[in-house]
Order: sequence, then C-alpha cells, then structure tokens
Amino acid sequence: MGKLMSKIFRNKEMRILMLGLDAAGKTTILYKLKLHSAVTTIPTVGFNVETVTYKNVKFNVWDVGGQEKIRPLWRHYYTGTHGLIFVIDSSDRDRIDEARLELHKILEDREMRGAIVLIIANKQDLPDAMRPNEIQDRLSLSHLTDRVWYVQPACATSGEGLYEGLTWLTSNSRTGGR
Amino acid sequence: SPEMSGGKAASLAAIQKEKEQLVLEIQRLQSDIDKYEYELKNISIYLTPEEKKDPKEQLASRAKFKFNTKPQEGIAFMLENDLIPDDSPASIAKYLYSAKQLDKQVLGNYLGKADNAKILTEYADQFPFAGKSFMTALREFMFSFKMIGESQVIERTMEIFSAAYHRQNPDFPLTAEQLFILCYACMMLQTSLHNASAKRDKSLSTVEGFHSLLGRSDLKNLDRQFVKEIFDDIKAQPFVSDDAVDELGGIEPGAIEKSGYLQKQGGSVKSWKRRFFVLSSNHLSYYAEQRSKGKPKGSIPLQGLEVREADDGKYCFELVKPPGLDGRIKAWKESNSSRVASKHECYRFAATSVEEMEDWMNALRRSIESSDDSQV
Repeated sequence: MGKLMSKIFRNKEMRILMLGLDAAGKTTILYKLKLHSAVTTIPTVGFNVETVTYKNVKFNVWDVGGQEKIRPLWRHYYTGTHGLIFVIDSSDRDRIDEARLELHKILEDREMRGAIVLIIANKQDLPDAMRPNEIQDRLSLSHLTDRVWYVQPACATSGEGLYEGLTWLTSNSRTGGR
Repeated sequence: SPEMSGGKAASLAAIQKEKEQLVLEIQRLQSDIDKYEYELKNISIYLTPEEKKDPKEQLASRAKFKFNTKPQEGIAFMLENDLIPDDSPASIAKYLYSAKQLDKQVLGNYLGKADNAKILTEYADQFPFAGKSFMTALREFMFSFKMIGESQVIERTMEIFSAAYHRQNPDFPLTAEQLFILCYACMMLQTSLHNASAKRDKSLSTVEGFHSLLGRSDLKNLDRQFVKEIFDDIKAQPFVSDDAVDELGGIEPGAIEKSGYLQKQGGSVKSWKRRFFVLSSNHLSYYAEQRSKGKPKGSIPLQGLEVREADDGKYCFELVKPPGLDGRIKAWKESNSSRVASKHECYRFAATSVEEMEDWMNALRRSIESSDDSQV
C-alpha cells in the first residue's frame, strides 16, 4: 500500500549540497542518514552522493567541494540546489573563522540565491563544544539578509539531531520539489 | 549459618579474591588464544601450500593480515620485523605498492588520510606513468586502491596524482595544476555518469556539458577532440577499483548490494573454501577468485530463505529454508563446466569478524525481504 501511495503522490525531491571544512563530519552524517534506507550499494568511485528518503521527501545529498583552485568547477553544483547543509565541527574553535569565510563565500554566489541553509553544529558531544548561539555569532549569521537559515545542534556519530535537521529542510523548502 | 572467626573470614575473602583474579587471567589468556587462532586461520588464507612452509612468507602474510585489520598496527609490525627498512614515507609507500593482497578499501582509507599525504605522494611516484596517456595512468592508479568519496580526499588524491604524472611526463601539454583540474573534473564526470544516486543530474551527461564544465576553469581552450575522447572513455568504462564490477560485466555496478570474501562450507564434502561472494538482484553468487575473469562457480536464489547465526563456529552464519520445509535448497553450482543442482540443505559461511558477519547477514536479509516484496 505504501508503495502505491507514493506512486500516486509523487515524492518531493530536494537537491542538497553538503559542504564544510575537512573533518567536520560530512561523511559520517551522510552515512548515518543513509543507514536507514533500504538498499546499500557498493559505492562507485567518485564523490559521495546519496539519496535518502525521509517523510516522503527524497534528499539527494552531494558531498562536493574543495579549495579555491577548483572552486570554478564545483560551483557547477550550485545550479539547481535547493538547500545547503553546512557542517561545523563545534569543538574546533581554531577553524571557525575559516568556516565563516567559506560559508559567506558560498552564499554570495548568485547561483545559491534560492538555497535555504541548514548549519549542522556537529560534535556537540565533545567537551567545550560551541553551542548553537555561539556558532550563530561566530558565523555572523545575522548578517545574512533575505536568507532562510537555521542552526541544528547534532552529534553525527550517534545520529542525534540529524533527522530534526532534515525536518527543518522539508518544512522550509520553498521549491516544494516536484 | 555457622559462626566464623575473624581470621577465617579474612583468609576466605583473600582466597576468593585470588580466585577472581585467576579467573580473569584465564579469560584474558583465552581471548589471546582466540585472537592468535583467528589470526593463524586468516594467515593461511593468503598462503599457497609451498609458502606455508616458509617462515618468511608466514611473517609477510601475518603483516598483511595485520594491515588489513588495523593499518597502523600492520605498519608497526612490519617495522619491528624488518619487512620495511624504516618508517619514512618512501619506504612505507614502496611496501604498499609492491605488496599483494592488501585490502583495497583499507588501503584507500589509509592513503586518504590527510596525515598520510606524503606517503600517498611517494606511492604515486612508484607507478610507471612515463609514456602512458594520462587516462591510462589515472585508471591504473585508481584501480590500485579504493579511494574514499570525501571531497577533500578526492581533491588531494587528484592533486598528488597529477604532480606525479607530470614529473614522469614533463612534455605533457598541460601544467601539473591544469592536469589536476582536469582530473578533478573527470571525477565529477565519473560521479554523474556512474553513481546511481547522481544519475538525475543530467548536466554532465553530454560532451557539451563536460566541455562547458571545463570552460569554467582555466581549461577553456582545450581541444574539443581531446575533451570528447576523455568523455567517451569515462562514459564507456567507469573508474573501478573493485574487480567484481569488472568481472560481472553485464550487471550494473549499482546493482551489486555487497561483495567480498567469505569462507564457504561444502555441500557434500564439509571442507571450507574461500570464495568471493557477490550479492545482487536477490542472488548470492560466488567466484573462485576475485581476480579470475569468468563465470560464477555457483549461485543461490535468496527468495524464501532465512539467514541465521550458526550455533557453532566463529563468525559463522547460515542460509536455510524456513522451519518445516525440508530438503535441499534450490541453487546451482558449476561442475565440469555445466550447472548442476546444489546438494546443500544449508549454506554455511564464515566471516572474519563480527562486524563483517553482521554486515553480510543484514545485507542478505534486506535482499530476501525485497525479493518477498516483489512477489506479492
């Protein structure tokens, strides 16, 4: 019955770009989410891309990014992206400024105008992790005008906070998919 | 209960304590024995009968096994036993390049670490790239380990490859940096064309799309024919590091749900053999060797079967018919180049760790469930 219903009411689809500095926890998040999907396939050589279905929404999550030299290439993925998941290592105070610069650089791009922004404040389980309020400040999120954003505290290794993040994405998505 | 004098109670408590410590010690020794037995069992998997007699080969085999389970411990073991002369990135890389039977996934995780970038650099320099086309070189490099799909790792790997290729081919028309950008774009193309989850992204599905991607960077003036050749090459043949995909040919890479080595017990002769298993389209098929091109030695349709942990044997699990249904499992195996019905009433497998066993059992259960769904 479930299958039939979803055939009649086509699933929504959201294309999500997942970015963040290295070791922020992107891969762990991706595979924690993927864990509950039905099929596991042998990963193809190349970038991690996974489709995760949650509450009738199909999330197509891409882990692509990189340093300045190749930014012109991966900007390619900005087009058609509904949401950005930007992952922060909340325990890494040394690199939070680097993360802020990167985030604002991405959001300045014209192609990213329509994308809503979910900040995942990862590694909340670590002692001295920055809390959402502090992250919001350190990332200068209040400077973002005309942008829907949210900071979700999370712990990727246990999975805590991740589905709340997805729920936020579905309820704030302007596109509504197809 | 009878009264006990203070002295007696104290000495009884001391004996009790000693006993507990002895029990703990025995448990510790038992777990050591288990560990070494398990290690020995696995070492023999890697050795031919002649090699088993050679202590040097045994040591090398133990090192590989250790590396495949815990890379850092493996390297430490090699250093201790002079299998590698020193812990310089060059020495480690030389070993990794020439060693056979390292687990490609483990190797990929190891080489992908930011801390091991120097080792990866030396590793790339081991390859004879001189005179080869960059695509051939890139394919050889990528085939030798399973690169993980993290963007930062891909970026680092491509940058290191490009520099190594360029050192050996100084006349290559692009600079090392331009080649790096091209290789990164090739990985994007590979993902769009061959990753099942990425296939809805049609923007890179044509030569024009790929050409315009390159045009975003400083590779604007690349010869169109050159770009077309790269595109056609990657479209016709994905980059692979897994032999299984290669050898199955007809099956789409995305359709393989799990693959890897397991021990399998025989149907009539109850000996154990190491086989390469591929779980795909509700069938569990097995091959003599991962590398051997060719047909499976046997295949088990999973529909209607059950998976359970075996009562005895370490990391053992079984495929059986549901309770109440007796007789042989419907499956085939190859015998004198023809397919014959298998004699198994129960298929028994052994993994090399709890995690591996559970992974396989879960994958099999999912596959069985999905085959039951499709019948309804």
